Amino acid sequence: MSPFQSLREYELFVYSLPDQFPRIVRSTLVVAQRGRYYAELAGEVLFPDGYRLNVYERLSWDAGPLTIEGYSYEVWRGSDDGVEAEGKRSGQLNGIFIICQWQSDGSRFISRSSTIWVSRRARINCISESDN
Amino acid sequence: MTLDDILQDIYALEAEMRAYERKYGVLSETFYESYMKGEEPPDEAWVRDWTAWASAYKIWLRRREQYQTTIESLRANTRTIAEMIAKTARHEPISISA
Repeated sequence: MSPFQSLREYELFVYSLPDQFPRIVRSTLVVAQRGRYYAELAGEVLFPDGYRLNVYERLSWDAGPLTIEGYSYEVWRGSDDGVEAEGKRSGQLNGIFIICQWQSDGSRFISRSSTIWVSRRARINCISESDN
Repeated sequence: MTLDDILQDIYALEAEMRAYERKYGVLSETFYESYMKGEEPPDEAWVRDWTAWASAYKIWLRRREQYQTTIESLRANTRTIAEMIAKTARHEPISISA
């Protein structure tokens, strides 16, 4: 069950992530309403040591709680111009992989699904915990 | 949610899907068939586009279904389609059928 009953609730959560989780160095996540009843979340969450979580979500709320219609999450380390993406070799990212059950194609995490009901809060928590 | 909400979502989704169709050279229904089979994009850089495209198409399918159901309901309560259109043309809120 989605913990968010409206787009407004989700916006408040997304934009307060850096305040809730001090390990987040910076967040460029933006929620954009694209239609009357659907929206997108896109951007990056930056963590210490150059880890970047690239996020895309398509959201809808036909007649109730927010639903994630599709998503893409990628974990990278380094810059876009040639530095290898970090993968399961990292204990930190292993933590994310195990707890969040992400799929991995080797060095890059790619996940997509028509429906998921994983709490965003839990996911961010697991990143934070594996950081310690 | 009203009939007008459904139409506005359909228009916005179609505009987005057209952009992907022009970029990748196929209609959304063709792409979605591939996506539903679980085929991965040949280029990693396409992952984000394909996720956005597939989810847009998925919502579009649902909105079309909601539109059809609502129109059928309206038609059941009017003698002709023209009479139904006379009703929708007033742009008064028409709740969608469940």
